[in-house]
Amino acid sequence: MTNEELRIYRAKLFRDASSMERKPDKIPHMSFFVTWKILDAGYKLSEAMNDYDIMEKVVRQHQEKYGFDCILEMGARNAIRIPMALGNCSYYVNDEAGTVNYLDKAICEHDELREMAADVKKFFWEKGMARKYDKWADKTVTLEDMQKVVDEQSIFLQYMGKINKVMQDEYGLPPYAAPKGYGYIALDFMFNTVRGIKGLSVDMRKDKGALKEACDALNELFYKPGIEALRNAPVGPDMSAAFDYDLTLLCHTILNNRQFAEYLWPYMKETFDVLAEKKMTVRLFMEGSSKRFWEYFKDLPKGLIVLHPEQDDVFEVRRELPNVAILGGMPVSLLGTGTKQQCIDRVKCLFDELGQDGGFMLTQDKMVSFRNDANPENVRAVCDFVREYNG
Amino acid sequence: MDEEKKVDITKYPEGLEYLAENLNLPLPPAVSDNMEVRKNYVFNLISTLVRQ
Repeated sequence: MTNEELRIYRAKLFRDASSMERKPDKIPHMSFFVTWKILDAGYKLSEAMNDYDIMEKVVRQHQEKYGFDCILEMGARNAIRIPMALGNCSYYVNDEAGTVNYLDKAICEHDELREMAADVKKFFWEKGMARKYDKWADKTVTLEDMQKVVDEQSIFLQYMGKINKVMQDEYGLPPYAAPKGYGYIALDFMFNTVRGIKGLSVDMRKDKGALKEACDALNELFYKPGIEALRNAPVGPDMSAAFDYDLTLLCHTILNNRQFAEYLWPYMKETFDVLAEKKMTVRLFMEGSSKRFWEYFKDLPKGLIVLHPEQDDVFEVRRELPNVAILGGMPVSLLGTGTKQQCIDRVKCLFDELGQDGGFMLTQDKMVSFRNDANPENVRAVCDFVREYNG
Repeated sequence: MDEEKKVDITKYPEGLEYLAENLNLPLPPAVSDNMEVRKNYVFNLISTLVRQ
């Protein structure tokens, strides 16, 4: 096969598995390795995160060493050069430990929720930026500083364009998603950035009215334009990519069913309805456990959702949600501390029990980040076994 | 404070208007002079910075 033929073939593997109507020619294997692959390639995190030539070598080596059917992350995560152009950022890179930590710092206080709701742009500009960047807080920021940020963002986008093309043209890898607009649901924005984990937990108990106003304002600015772009997209999947859309959620980990129904589900449902109308497929990565919300997914049409559960048991997903395709199944804990044989036995069990009729794609259950998350020998054994067992 | 223009970049909407007018933005020629497009670009950049 030429690289072009291989790329099309691999994309079809994901499409067939996602559709749940056709058994794919073989079970596709996706890489969900993030910062781990930098360490695995012999570089320090700070080296690769600050030098896109090194990051390109890392991604190339990752594919040459393991041979996945698709790579979900190609160096876009933790794009620290963009905020660092303004002097500081919320990421703490520890090369000695091989870790990246993100400071859970709220940009809005509880008693400012209504002020933010009244004018999100003004709030982000004057208070959000000042709480993130020292130069903004002390008012020393200049036009030249902001030009550096613009230039860094351009360099980053050029890198992303280049690495995607390299991996398609030289390695026959399809892009993992072809987003047709992206709606950022307000509650996840509140959880990740605006109020933080602790702050949002307080808001949901202290003043629901203020929280609702803030979420409505954020949805107006960051969710609705994305969903409109999706509505205006042509009908039909983009067969050149593994999936059409990606929805990664984290805030549900602190929600009960009533809060999920009120703050999150209406927007998820609206997104799913538009995607179903467009005959598109979404990879839904729900961090932590999502089991208590599966009831909401039971009536969704086959071929719409590819659920990537982080902590939930994939065999239970198959039993409870026969309408949902599964991406996942390989525990990072096993890759890190298990034996080669234990890892291979796990893959064989997954393939035999979940892969016989389609609807299953193999990947790691969590973003593989830290050095000890995976033993490279185990990863290679799994990849070799997948190729042999698939035939 | 940007000394040359005496504009406080950290104030809204003055800062947005100043940056939209004066930054060299990587926009296609067909829209590079459109002030609404330029303002949207700059605000999206600020949103990215707030999220980072």
